Amino acid sequence: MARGFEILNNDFADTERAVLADIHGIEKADEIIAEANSYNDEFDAEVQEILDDVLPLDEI
Amino acid sequence: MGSSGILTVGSFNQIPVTGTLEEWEKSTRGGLDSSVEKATFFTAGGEPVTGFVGDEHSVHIDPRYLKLDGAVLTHNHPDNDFGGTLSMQDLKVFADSNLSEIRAYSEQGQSYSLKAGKNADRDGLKRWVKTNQKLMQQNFANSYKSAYKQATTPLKSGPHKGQVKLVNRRTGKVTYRRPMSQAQATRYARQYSVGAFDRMYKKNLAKFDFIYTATKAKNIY
Repeated sequence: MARGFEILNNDFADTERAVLADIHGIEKADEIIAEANSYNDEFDAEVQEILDDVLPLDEI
Repeated sequence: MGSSGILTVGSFNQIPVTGTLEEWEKSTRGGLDSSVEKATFFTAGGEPVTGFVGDEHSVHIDPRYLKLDGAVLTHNHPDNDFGGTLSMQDLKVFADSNLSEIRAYSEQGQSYSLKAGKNADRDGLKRWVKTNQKLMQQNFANSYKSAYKQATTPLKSGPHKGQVKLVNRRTGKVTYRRPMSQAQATRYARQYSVGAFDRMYKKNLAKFDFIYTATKAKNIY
């Protein structure tokens, strides 16, 4: 079997999960992440408004 | 080849690729396979070569394609996961290749690119990744945690009691507002910490003649 390189994209997701689990416990962390990843229009608009205000893209 | 178009060869799941890189990245955004990771090669002239499909976290690619001179490798960050930017593992793969560019893009419209300059020092990049991999991950975790706590922990006293204090580390701007929900704070912490990662990449990778760019359409991570 040929050896494959693995491109991982979950370094960030794994770290996020570990940080949130450290604060809230793993079950709650997964719940928060699922909600954050829901990307529904209403939630997105809310987040967009907050971030535009406190952490605009040209300031990060 | 099955009806899905996936050809399994050894440990690789290979998929046919059509069109240009730009078309490919656009067509897979919001497409049927957006929940899994796909890595795709294009020649230096922009011709599609081949692609590989993995699961929601990773994709195996045949290393022979990494030796294609000047080729471009792009991969998506699935829409059900926080992809961040190019990972240190992505950089390591790139440093070991003959590719001219490695890219990552997300369903939400961000794209990240690392291009090799004329005098790109791939061994230097490899050493930098090896030396800094753990440190970068730790910095990311610290930065994420700090931003999340800022966004959710109200001040206990003073004129802004009950509000949270958000400090933009780059500009020094201070904002007071009501605490964010945990999910909102998660997205804030993502933007904050990936932003810190972006700056580290821009600053450090240029030393080895690699050009890093991050393109973000919206404040969505």
